[in-house]
Amino acid sequence: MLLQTDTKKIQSKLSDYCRTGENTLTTEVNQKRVHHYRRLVYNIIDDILQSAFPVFYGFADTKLWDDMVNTFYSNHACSTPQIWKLPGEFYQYACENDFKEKYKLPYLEDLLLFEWMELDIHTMKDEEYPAYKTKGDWNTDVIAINPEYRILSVKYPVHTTHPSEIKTDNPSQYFILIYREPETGRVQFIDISVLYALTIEKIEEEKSITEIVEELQPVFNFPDKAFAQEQIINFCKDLQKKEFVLGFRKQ
Amino acid sequence: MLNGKTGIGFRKDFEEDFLTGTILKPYFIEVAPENWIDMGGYWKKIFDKVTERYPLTCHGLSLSLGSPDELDWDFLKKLKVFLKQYKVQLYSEHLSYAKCDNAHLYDLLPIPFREDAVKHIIERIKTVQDFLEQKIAIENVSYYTPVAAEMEEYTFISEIVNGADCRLLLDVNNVYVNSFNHKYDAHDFIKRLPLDKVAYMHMAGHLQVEEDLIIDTHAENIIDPVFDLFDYTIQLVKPVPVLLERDYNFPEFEQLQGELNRLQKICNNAWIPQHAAAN
Ligand SMILES: [Fe+2]
Repeated sequence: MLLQTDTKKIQSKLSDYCRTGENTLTTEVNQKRVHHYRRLVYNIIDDILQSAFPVFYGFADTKLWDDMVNTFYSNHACSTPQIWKLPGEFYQYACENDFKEKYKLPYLEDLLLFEWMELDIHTMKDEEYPAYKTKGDWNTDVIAINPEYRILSVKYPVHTTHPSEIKTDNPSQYFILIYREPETGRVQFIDISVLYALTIEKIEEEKSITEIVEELQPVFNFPDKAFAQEQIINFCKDLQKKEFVLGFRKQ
Repeated sequence: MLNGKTGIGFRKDFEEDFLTGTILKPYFIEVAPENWIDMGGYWKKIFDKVTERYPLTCHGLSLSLGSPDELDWDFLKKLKVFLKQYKVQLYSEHLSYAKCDNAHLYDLLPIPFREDAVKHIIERIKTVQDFLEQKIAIENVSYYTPVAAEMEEYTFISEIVNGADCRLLLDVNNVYVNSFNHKYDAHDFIKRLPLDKVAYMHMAGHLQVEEDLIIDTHAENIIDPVFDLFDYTIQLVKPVPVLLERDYNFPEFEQLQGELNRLQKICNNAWIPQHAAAN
């Protein structure tokens, strides 16, 4: 390393100051001006997080928000060179450091995840689409689905309810299908039942709907299997209109 | 060939006018590769359309040439693929650091102007150039405080550019901002740079925030003294591409195109012999 310890130390001090706001520099810099670096760097981080989490930012009071951003930025070594991926690191940091407990917001992780996923799905790398045909047999063919999606499992209805109205005393379980429309690139989300979440998981395993109903029978004890199958097919047909189901896999 | 031509930094706000409109007419566009590598969906489609229409230059943000940290090889590998994919011949980075102790800062911090930093950065630029199999241009950045400096800024820049045998991206607004903030003569400063290595130029607006301090915002119109300094500078360098940087606080597109026209006119006057003769 050609860089000397002293130079390195000074560089670390300046970057530490930008991250934490604690200035340990003395005569190495112009003290009347160095604060601009902290301000500029902090604003960049604050802006990117505000725009990634608009619902939570709009709801949180300024003190709470600032405390979260500061805690994150001063303690976490941001690892991505691409700042638009940073909100994902914020979400992870919030989970790993139990922000929901610290800030007494039980639904926080769910809300941050939902907001981050909307952004992540919108920008995620293009995935390869499966080869598919538009005509086929809903019962026996393997359904082809849009690969640009995630299923989120959350305890609070963060996708339908504003944080100010979420009841924190009875967590439940919700599944959210969140995906990107192939042509427009718009992100859509749909509240789905556990049955349909499992159905999509089985479709990924290249099972036909007839096979899926057989496999899920022990879990759900369908009183009328034919009816359950019809329900699942209707669900898939609806998702086809919504551009999540593409058609039928070409073998 | 983009030499002597003017371009503009591509922002998402320009999308529509770039694809269907008729107001903005740059010869080329510039993007930060960090903003587009790994991008899919809607914006990838737009980016592909825009880059079909306009030649592309790239101006990096995260390489952090002045950093004590190791180079980020994962990023460099992606960068190399990206530059090849979009046929980018001009890739530039900042003479600053944006990462330290393994943490990205997402802004450009000033490097101590010191001999050990010069040597360190020369090695890093050489490594990057070898890996990318192309010369890169490094940009003189604006800064608001010197940091434990032991040499003049122009010496620092010159030693690095000459030592690494790389190119210089000369940002004229940054020279103006620094000459104001650190009280030196901008013309004299420019004359002391390795002008034969200039491969690209930047122009931008700035904001005076204190009596004796200007911040390089890229959010204002270019002021006349910076146009004048640009005019002075290009008499001293061979024709290169010239970029208008406007990142925030966008005016009407007519205003932006007006700035591009004004820059182009200055370039034509200096760099096209018959123009100079006719004037
Ligand atoms: Fe610049």
